[in-house]
Amino acid sequence: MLWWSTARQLHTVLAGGVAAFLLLLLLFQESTAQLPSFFASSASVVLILAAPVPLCAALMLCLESRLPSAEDTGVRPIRLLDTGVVLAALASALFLSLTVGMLLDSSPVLEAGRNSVFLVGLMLCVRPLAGSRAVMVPVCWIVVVALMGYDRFGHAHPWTVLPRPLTDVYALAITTFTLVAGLALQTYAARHESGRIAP
Amino acid sequence: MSVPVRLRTSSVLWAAPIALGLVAVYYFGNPPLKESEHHGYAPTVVSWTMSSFYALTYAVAAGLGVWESARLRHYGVWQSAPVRSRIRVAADALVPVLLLTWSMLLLPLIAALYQAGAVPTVNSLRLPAMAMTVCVAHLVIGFCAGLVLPRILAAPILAVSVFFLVASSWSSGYTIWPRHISGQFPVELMYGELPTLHSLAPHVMFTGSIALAAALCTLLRNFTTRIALPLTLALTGTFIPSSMVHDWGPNPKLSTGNVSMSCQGKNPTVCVPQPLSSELPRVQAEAASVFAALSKTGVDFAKPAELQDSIVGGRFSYRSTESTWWLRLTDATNGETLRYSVMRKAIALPCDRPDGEAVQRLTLWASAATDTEGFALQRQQEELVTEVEKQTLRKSRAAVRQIHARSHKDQTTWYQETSEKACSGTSEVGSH
Repeated sequence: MLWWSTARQLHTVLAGGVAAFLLLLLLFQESTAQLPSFFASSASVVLILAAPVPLCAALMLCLESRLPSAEDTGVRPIRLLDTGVVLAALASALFLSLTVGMLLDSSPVLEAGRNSVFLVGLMLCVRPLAGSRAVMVPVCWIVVVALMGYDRFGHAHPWTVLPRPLTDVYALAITTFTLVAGLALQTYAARHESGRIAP
Repeated sequence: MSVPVRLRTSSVLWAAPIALGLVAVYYFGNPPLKESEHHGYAPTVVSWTMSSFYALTYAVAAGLGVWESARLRHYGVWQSAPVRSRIRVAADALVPVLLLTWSMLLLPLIAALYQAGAVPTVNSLRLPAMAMTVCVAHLVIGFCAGLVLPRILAAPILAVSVFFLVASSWSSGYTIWPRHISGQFPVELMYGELPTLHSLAPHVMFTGSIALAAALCTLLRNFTTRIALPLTLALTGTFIPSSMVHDWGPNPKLSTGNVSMSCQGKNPTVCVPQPLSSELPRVQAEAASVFAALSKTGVDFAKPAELQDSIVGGRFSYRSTESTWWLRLTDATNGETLRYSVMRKAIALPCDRPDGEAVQRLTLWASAATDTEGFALQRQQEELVTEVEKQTLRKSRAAVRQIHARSHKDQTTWYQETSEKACSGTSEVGSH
């Protein structure tokens, strides 16, 4: 276990990712910026939308730091452990965002935890297809939401998920579904050797 | 490597569908710019379209730059014995990405210009040229970052940071300088406006100097120069542009009047931009009719030799002189509004703060002579807020009706007396 978690760089990379997430929560809080938008002249976007990116990237780096030959011998339940890593990272993100959000009484901070779950789920859904390139999926989603997720009156469309309030059942349902699908794909999809897919 | 192989191994292969897909969504989801918003002036169309794409393109450049260098490092190309120079190796990997980012900038432009029916000029390419240069800088920054950091961390973090930093530079609150150096040109160009070299240089210098510093850091061998030289370069490269722009307002330095004018007629000679000169006979006739009508009243009105269309000034206004007046001519909505603005300029009083009620009466009186009564009344009514103001307008209308009933000579005398009183400060406007 200890060797496995060291090989996966959990104590450095993943811990760093969670710390970066906390730092960004405290840094951005409720600050917004007027960003250019495709379909309205500009949209007011909360900067905290970008907070889950370092966490997603760190998680991806951990999951990709495989030792294929050792792992494929089947001594350890690797797929189960991978699921555990993802769930642990997301649980700490949720815990941090809920705690900080309640302390600061700030809804964007509260939503950041749910957003991390959604973006990680999305990333894991694309990973069997795209390999490590799936790490760009959260970035793409955030950029797409910023560029075309808002209507002329500054309201976010339901499909955007990220800027929706925590009470939005639709966004919660999408988030849950994405995470379950992502974890299922991670567990059951065929694995490529890291070296086989052109990076 | 042959071109197909180079494309097949490049990150462009999987990034292009997404990046160009976004461009397509923009094209099909956006109604084209209205004729009244661009008047066929290509730089306006170009700047409107580009404003959505700066941040996106730079983010793609930085992210894919990381990916490419990490690929070279992963397969040991970067470390292997030098058959070609490192710059050549980097350029080979970066050219496909550069072409992708440039097409992200240029494709929407070509589509928008085609939809607007605007003919692109060399000058309208100033903004794209700046953005394309800044793209190269972001690519280099990404490439250098990917050589030392794991790409899974560096690519998404760099891309999202570039996107948010560049895109939010428009709204940095009271700190204005970021919008002048971020690489995202801060305003949309209006008719006749062009960015000056002075306003484009800070954008290129800021990102460019960081990129140059990153490149030197990678290429230099000696430890001291490797740290000292790039650091100095990056610091001066950030300091010079920000000190260049620190006293600028929200608007960058723009040059105006970049359209040739064509003129027509006498009394007055009317000049409008050449591309809009189909309007010229109509505008000249309307303007001339105002001066003819005013001279019939017997009052000695100001009359210029030349009437210029102030649309070429964009957001700025030119100062009218006695012989040359600058007025909105071609984008006046119809003949009446055009005649009204010429008439208002002709009856303008020679003092700074004339009495409001007197000006109201003079305007109503002159509007009857120039056939702009409907519009004049509408404008006066738009300005009304309080009940007292409404009453004043009613009184003025009644008074002007009385004056119109009088003899020609009486009216001239009334006009002169009222305008003198309006400027004297102690105004007592009545009908004697």
